[in-house]
Amino acid sequence: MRSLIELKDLGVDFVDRGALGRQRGKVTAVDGVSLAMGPGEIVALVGASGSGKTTTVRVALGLQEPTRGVARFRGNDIASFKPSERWEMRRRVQMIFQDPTEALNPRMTVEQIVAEGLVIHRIGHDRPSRRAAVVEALGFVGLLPAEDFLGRHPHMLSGGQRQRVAIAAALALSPDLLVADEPVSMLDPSIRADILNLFAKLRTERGMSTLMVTHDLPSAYHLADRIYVMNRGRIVEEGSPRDVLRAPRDPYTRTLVEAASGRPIGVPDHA
Amino acid sequence: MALVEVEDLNVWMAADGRSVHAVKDANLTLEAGGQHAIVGESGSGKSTVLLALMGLLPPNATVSGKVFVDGVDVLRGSEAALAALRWRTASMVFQSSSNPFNPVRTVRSQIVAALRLHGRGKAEAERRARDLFDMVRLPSECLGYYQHQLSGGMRQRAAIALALACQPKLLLADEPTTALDPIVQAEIIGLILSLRRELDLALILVSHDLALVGHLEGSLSVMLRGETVEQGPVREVMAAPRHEHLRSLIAALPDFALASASSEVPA
Amino acid sequence: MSPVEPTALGGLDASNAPAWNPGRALGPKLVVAIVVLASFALVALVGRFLNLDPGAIDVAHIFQPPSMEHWLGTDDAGRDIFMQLIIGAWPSLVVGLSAAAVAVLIGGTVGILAGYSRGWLDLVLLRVMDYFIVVPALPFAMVITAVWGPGLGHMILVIAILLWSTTARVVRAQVKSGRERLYVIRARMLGASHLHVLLRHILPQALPLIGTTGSLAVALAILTQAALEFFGLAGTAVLSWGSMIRFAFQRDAMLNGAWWMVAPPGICICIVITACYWLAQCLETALNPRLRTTDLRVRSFRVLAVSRGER
Repeated sequence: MRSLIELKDLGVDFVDRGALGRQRGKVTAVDGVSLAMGPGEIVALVGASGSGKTTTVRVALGLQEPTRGVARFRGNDIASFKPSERWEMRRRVQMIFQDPTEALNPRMTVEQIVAEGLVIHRIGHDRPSRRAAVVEALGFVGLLPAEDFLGRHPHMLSGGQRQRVAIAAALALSPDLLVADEPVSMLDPSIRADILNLFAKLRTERGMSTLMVTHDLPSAYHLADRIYVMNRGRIVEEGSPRDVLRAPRDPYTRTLVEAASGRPIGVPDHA
Repeated sequence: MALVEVEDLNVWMAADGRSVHAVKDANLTLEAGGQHAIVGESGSGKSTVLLALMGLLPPNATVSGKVFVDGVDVLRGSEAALAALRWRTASMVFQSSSNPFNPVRTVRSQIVAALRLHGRGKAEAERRARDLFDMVRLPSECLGYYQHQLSGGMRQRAAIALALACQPKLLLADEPTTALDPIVQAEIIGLILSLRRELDLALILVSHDLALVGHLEGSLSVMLRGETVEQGPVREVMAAPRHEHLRSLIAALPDFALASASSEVPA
Repeated sequence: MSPVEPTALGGLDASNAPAWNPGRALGPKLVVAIVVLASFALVALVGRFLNLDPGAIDVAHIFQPPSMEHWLGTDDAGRDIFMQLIIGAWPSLVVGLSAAAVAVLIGGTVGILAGYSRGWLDLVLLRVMDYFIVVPALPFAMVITAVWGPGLGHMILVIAILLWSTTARVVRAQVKSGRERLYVIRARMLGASHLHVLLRHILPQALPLIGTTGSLAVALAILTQAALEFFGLAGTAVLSWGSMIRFAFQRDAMLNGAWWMVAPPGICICIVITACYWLAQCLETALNPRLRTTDLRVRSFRVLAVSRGER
């Protein structure tokens, strides 16, 4: 099975240099992280802010050069990509952001937003052919009838609908991998399941993989094939959702599961 | 008279030429030191109820009904009465991501300003600011920080300190833990609840997180599109939901959360 | 179609409000502004293309107050003021308009360049803008006139040079923040070129702002032109409102009590500038979807009277 993303012993240090270029301080954001994903998989990367998960994902996206270790996309070292390979990667890996409102240009119509990637990558020679792709993508994410949505602006859509548009815009490019950064944390709980199911649908029907970055355990539990838990730059636990969340071995993971249950920390118990 | 009395509260919001019935016939009674949670999604009207309690509804709002806080008629009372109410009797904590502090002033200056506005002298205000930070378990050097230098959880602690500055009787918390990491969320809720016990505060907590609310004492109301669809003691409401909405929300809670919810609930 | 869900602040906040919000803008202010400007434009065209004549020098009727014959009286040479006002409209407006157009063109371009670039280009342009902002208007105009000589064309350039940096700063700020928006970051991640980002995302946001500052620039240009003409820096060849005021003072109109020589052109300038300003205000209201902030000291929401038993 050809792997999609492979991170091996990844290390990322951020060095603070003074005015004269001398090293003033060093922050190790990621330390010895190994992670692998293949096609048709949903992997959840769980951790709090500061855990290094954002930096890890940036390396996987090719936006950050690792200080140590290697990052591979489809078997090839990202650091040694030619410009044409980088360009390919920009199409094959798509990002879904946390804030669906900010991710959409309020002055553009839904059609323009979904078609923007196609325009940039010059897929589809004219508007009608691009429109067909847009309609198809909107249909897949459940915005039906698609024609009704083409001319709408983001402010006419609910939060959940906006995120669907963002996902449609991503899948219009037929990527191999979606990287979703807290895709449902800004949405109401009752509609989160529907949006998460879209990722599952993409996996089943299109063989698309998703790397979901989140600190929301219930989302990861419902959706992921595998979970990696990060704390302080390291992976402290990995495995299936059942194993990781029902019987966590690492104390940090245990605390995380406790917190996800909603039980407050630090309240003195009654006698 | 109870500390908080809300009777047949209705709020309409005018937007874009239309009028939206944001809150329908809301009722609430809360005694001093009591605790109430309002659960609902965006658009349910839950935050509007809190704003109404403080008399902070925007100009495009129309209200009917009665809202009394500590005997003060919030909707129809004088400006002076409302000004005396705000922060001294009732204060509010907002979402951490809403950046509740003035970004160009230190946190200390804002807490001190609030205290001085309500009659304390400068030295006393400085002392109280330090005490407040101890109370919310923040190191006192953070007093000199600006809002952006604090993490989400720390900012929220500072916001709680600010809210408690004038020793109010009632604390309103509007989604205080949303957008924070789960562990920090649990810590902040833990802080709010223990402060409540320490200071004998009444607390009204608004959230969309049912897992969180299920662990609380006191009463609970569930709002859906402006209507209160469930109301009663937390345990009763959670155990026997009458409305489909709450049933589906409870069903959406993950197994491992439910497992802990049914066990020890604080008395 | 799903309705806009109400939030605590009444349904529309800065994030989900439409980009064009004409609601409060289409008020009486906008109507008045447009009517006024259109009327003056019409008058200016009439003055330019219908060969009007203020009348030959008529020494017998100098400094005549307004009458049925001469609606606004006569000047020191017996010529009709009203005619002069109409004739003077064109130069006054055209210079203002052209100067504003040039200023906005330069300012908009520089602003976009400065706002979009992140490195030394921004710093350099910023310093250039700063320099031009502090250049004092009148001394600068005097120097230029001394070097180039007077004339309408030179005046357009002088005014444009004085005004462009204000537009540039405003546009730069807008572009700078626009560049950091998530949808721009997303487009760049997709591999969009800078040109694509500028054309698709930055420019549509900047253009309305340029329109607003443009209206203000017109107002400022007209005022600056009048000032320059008043000081005689524009030369005496062209009759415009500013030069009318200048002649009035030069030829002792006030000493002769001839207020009708001074007031009408001054009032016209004021009216046009105010109309431009109102237009700019209305444009800004329409383009700015942010709600007013509530004044917490005064209860601003409405309370319905409640009678028991009524619902």
